[in-house]
Amino acid sequence: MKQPLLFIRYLQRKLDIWLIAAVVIGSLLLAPLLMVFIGIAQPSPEWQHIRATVLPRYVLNTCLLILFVGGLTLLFAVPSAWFVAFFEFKGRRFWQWTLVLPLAIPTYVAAFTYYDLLDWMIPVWIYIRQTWGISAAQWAEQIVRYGLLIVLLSSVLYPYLFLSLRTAFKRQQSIFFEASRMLGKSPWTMFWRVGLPLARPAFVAGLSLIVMEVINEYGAVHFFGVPTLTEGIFRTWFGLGDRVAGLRLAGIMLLFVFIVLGLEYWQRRRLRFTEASLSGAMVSRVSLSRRASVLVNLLCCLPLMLGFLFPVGRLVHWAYLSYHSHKFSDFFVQGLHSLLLAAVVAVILTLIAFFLSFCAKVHEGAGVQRFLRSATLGYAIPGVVIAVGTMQLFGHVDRYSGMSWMLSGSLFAIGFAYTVRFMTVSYQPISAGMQNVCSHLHDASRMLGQSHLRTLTAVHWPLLQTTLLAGAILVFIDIMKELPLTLILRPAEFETLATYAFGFAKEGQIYHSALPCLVIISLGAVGLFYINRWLESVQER
Amino acid sequence: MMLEVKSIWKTYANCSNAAVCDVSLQVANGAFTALVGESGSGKTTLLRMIAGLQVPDKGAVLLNGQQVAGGDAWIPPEKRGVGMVFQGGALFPHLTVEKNIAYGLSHLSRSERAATVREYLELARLPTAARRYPHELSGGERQRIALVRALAPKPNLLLLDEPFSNLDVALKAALREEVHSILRAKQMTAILVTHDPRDAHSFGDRIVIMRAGIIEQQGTRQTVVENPSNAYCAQLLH
Repeated sequence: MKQPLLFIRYLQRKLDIWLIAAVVIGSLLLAPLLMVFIGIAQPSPEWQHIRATVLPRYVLNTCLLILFVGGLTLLFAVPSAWFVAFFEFKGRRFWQWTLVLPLAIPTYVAAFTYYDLLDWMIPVWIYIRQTWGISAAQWAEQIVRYGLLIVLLSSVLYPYLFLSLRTAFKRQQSIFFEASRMLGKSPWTMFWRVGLPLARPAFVAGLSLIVMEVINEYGAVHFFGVPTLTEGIFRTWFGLGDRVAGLRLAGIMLLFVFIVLGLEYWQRRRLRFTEASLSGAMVSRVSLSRRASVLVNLLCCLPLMLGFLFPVGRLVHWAYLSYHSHKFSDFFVQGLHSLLLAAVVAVILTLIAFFLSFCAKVHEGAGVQRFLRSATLGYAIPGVVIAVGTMQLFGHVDRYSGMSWMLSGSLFAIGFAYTVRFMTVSYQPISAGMQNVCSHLHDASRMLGQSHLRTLTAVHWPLLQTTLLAGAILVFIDIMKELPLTLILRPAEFETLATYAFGFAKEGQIYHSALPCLVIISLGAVGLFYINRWLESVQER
Repeated sequence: MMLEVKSIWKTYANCSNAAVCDVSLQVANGAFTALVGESGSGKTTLLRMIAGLQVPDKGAVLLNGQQVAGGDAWIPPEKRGVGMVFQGGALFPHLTVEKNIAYGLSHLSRSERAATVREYLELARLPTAARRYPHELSGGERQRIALVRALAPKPNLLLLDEPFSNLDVALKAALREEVHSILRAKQMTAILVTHDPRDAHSFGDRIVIMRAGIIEQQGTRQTVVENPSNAYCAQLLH
C-alpha cells in the first residue's frame, strides 16, 4: 500500500507543470524528425534505381561543395576577423560593421546575380570546343559553373565564421599574447600558435554552421544545375512522386548533419581549455602602419565586394529596369504575407524559446537538459528534411482525424515547421543569457519567497528583453530568407517574397526578381545592424 | 532546535566523489554558526541543500522540527522561511534599491511595504539610497543592501554564502562588524559560509570545519580554536 503512495508523492515532487510543458513542447519539436526515421523503413519503388544512378552524384556534389565552400570561407573570414579584432587601422570600425552584411543576402538571390556571368563565357567555350573538342568544352564549363557556385556560396556564408571568430578573438586575454611577445614571437606566430588555437571552439562552431547551410542549400544549387541531396529530395518527392525514397535521401542528409554535429561536440568538449581566456584584461589592439592598413583594407574589401556590393549593385540596376512591370498590388500582398508570417512566427517562437530555456533552468537534471538540447537542434536539420517530416506528420493527423488537407496544407503547418527549424536561433542566446546573467538572481528571487512564475516575469523577462528581441530579429531574418521549406509547405496560391522572387528567376525573368530580393535584403540588413550593435554591447559588458 | 541536518548526502552527476557525505549538524535558535572550509569542501552545497536550492540524495533537513527535505518530504525554497545572502549580493540590476528590498515583501500592503523598506534602509545606514540602482553603489553598500533585502521578509534562518569574499581587507573588517551587529539587533539565527578563518573567528558562536564533503570538527568557537581535533583544523584556523 505504501509503495504506490510513495511513488505518487515522488511523481508529484519530480513532475511539475514546467517539466510536463517542456516535455510536450520538446516532443512536438522532435516529431517531424521522428516521422522521417519512421518513413525510411517503408518500401520504396524507385529506391534501387535512385541508388544505382543519381545517388552517388548527389553525395559527391554535396561533399565537393562542403569541402570547397568550407575552404574558401576560411580565406574570407579568418584574416578579416583577426585584423578587425587585433589591429587598429583606418576603416576598422567600418569593416567591423559591414563585413557581416552578406548575411542579409539569401544564397539563391546571390545565385541569380552571378548566374549570367556564365553567359559571358560563351565565346571561351566556343574557342575551347573548336580547339580541343566538345568534351573539353563541357569540362571547362562545368568547372567554371561549380567554381562560380562555390565563390558565391562562400562570399555570402563567410559571416557566420567571421562573427563567431571576431567574438572569440575579442574575448581573448592579453596575457597570452604578452607572454608570446616576451618570448620573441612575431604577430604571425602569435596568430598561428596562440590566437587561432584559443579560438578553436568558435572556429569549429562557425564552420559547422556554414557546412550545415551548404547541406541545406537548395535555391542556388538548383539554379546552377548542381544536383545535391537537397535537390535530390525535391526531384524524388515531387518529380518521381516517391515519398519514401525522398525520406531516405533526407535520412542520408541527416547522416551528414550528425557527422558535423559530432565533430562540433567533440571540439566543444575542449572548451574548458579556452575558458581561461574569458577573464582578465582583454587584448589591446596594435596600430598598423599606413602601408599595412591599405593592404588590410583591400583584403577586407574582397569578401564584401563579392558577397554584398556586387549582388546588391546588380539587383538595384535590374530593379530600376523592371520596377514599372511589377503589379504593385501583387507585390504588396506577397510582401505583407512575408512580413506577417515572419513577424508572428518570430514572436511566438521566441516566447516558446524563452519558456523552454526557463524550464531548462528550473530543471537542471542532465536528462532534461539533453532532451531540450536535442529538441532545439532544428537549425542543424535541413529545411527540406523538416518540411517532408512535417508533411508526413500532419498528413497522418489529417488522415486519422478525417480532415483531408486541413493541417498539412495550412499556414499552421508552415509556422510549425519554421518553429522546428529556427528554434535553435532563438533558444541558444536566451538559454546562454539565462545561465550567465540570471544564475544567482534566480536563486535570490526564490529565497525571497517568490514562485517560479513570478521569478520568470519579474526577473528573467526584464533582464533578457534585449536578448529576446535579438533572438526574434534573427528568426525574422531567417524566415524572410527561407526558401526550400516554404516551397514545399506553402498553401496553394500562397506566395512569400522569397517564393515570388524564386518563381520569376526560375522562369528566366531574373530582372523581375530584383525588387522582392531587395526588400528581403533591406529588412535583413536593418536587422543585422541591430544584432551587430547588440553583440558589441554584450562584448563590452 | 532551529535547524537539524541529519546524515545528508549529495553527489553531482559528473563527479565520482560525493560533494557532501553523511553530514549532520544542529543549529540552535539565535546562534551564529560559521561553516569554514577550502574551495570544494562542500560547504556551499550543504548551504544550498538547507536553503532548498538543491535536493539531497539522502538524509533529512528539519527546520523548527518540521522536515523540509528528505524521504518523501519536500518544501520548496520559497516556502521554507529561510533567507540567503549570496556571494556578490545578487541584487537585481534592473530594480532600484528600494524595489530590491521590497521584492520579497509582496505579501504586505503598499504602505506596510514602504515602511519596511524605510526601516531596513535605515538599518543598512543607507536611507538616501532608495532610488539608486545597484551599479551606483559601492561594493560594501551593495552587500549591506543584499543583507537587509534578505532580512526584510523576516526569515527564521539566514544563510550567508561568502558575503565578504569580493571586498578589500579594510572594508571586509568593517562590514563584518556591521553585519554582526545588524544580525544581533534582529536576533537572527545565521549560518555563514566562508573560507576565511578571520570571518569564522569574528562571526561564529559555533564553528564547523568541512573538508572533502565531511565535517572534520564542530563545536563552540573556543573549543575549536583551542582544541583542534587534528593538524588540518589547527592549520585552517590559525
